[in-house]
Amino acid sequence: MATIKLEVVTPTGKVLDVEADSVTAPGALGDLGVLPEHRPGLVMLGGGALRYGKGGSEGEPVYIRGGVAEIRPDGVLVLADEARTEAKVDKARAEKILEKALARQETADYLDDAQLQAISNDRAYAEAILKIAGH
Amino acid sequence: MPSLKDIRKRVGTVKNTQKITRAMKLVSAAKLKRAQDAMLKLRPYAEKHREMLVSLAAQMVDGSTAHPLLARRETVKRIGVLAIASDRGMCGAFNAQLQKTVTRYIAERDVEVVINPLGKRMGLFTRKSKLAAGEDFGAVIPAAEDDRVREITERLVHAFIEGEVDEVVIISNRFISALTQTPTVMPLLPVVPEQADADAEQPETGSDPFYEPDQTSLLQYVVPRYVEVQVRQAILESIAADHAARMNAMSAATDNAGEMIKTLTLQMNRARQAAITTELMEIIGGAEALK
Repeated sequence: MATIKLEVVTPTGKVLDVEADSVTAPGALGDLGVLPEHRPGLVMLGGGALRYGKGGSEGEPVYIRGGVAEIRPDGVLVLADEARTEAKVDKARAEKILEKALARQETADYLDDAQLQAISNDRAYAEAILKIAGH
Repeated sequence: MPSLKDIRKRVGTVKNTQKITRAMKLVSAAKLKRAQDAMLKLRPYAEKHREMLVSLAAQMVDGSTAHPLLARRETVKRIGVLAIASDRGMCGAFNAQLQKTVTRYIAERDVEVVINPLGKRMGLFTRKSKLAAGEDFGAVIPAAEDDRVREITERLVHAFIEGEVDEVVIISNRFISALTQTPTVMPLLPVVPEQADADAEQPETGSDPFYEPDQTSLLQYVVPRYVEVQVRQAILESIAADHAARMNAMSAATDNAGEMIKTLTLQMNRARQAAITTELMEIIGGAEALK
């Protein structure tokens, strides 16, 4: 069966490099599901969890703080501003990010589209991490 | 001729200096390793962003007006420079070479050039030579932090967008290898999406790629990221080059100290032998006289 080569790359290195059966990425306009042989394209990502299936079970999700996904015939490449696997999430940092995002939303008089997107990414990223049980 | 005691004292001093330079060399070597790692980790991300930018810009009907950072100004009146040097000395010609490059760059333009120093040595140089200085970004080591890179990039972009400057370049030391660092001038703004080489063309995929939400929004996302990545890369490379230069300078200093110890020890032995000979001559002379 065909698989998708899923890579997650951030400025501080590669976070994930696996062969997956299916990928669900947090697109800026809603979740994006990718199966093998997907039509190629570029998708803007928001914040949240990126999930993938592998061999019938679900792989460890990766939390993404906004980015871009490039879908190619042979795989998905995610360029994230920041990404952490579930094992490496930092709750204290997430709380700080959430706090900052909310404060910015409250205090700014005017925010352009990009800034609004960044705030919503930060919020979704932090909230997804804080929602993980067992921490 | 210096006395035996003097020479012995000097050998001691040189030995101490050698200990320090050797320690500094080892510290720099360790730091270089880390800086190099950070640099290499950024590379795939940077490369990918460049590719995306090129392919997105190529598809825009009029690439240069699609984003304000892509727009080339017809008349360039002021050029902003981000000049990156190190925070400390003891790294050979690292800072001096960069300063020379900056001076030459200014001399070659007939427009106003504003220097934004990054790295304490650069700040010092800008003030001392009374160059037209923009904002001093302070120390370079903390500048490698995520948020600081973003801040610096925002300032540079802001100056460009507001028309304070019409072009922005980075002058910094590029890390070629642990032995070579070259000062380089790299244009930053406006962004020129250059095709790397012909064989880097997008592979034929059969179907048209789709864009979500649309090309313009994606371009708006990619362009500032691209600029940030360039700044980050320049900073990381300069830091790695800084450590490499310091390592080499300290290695040479340690070797030189070794040479010096050798010469001084020789001198010391000669002086000691001379002293012994004189003493013997005196004893023999005294014994002769008593006969």
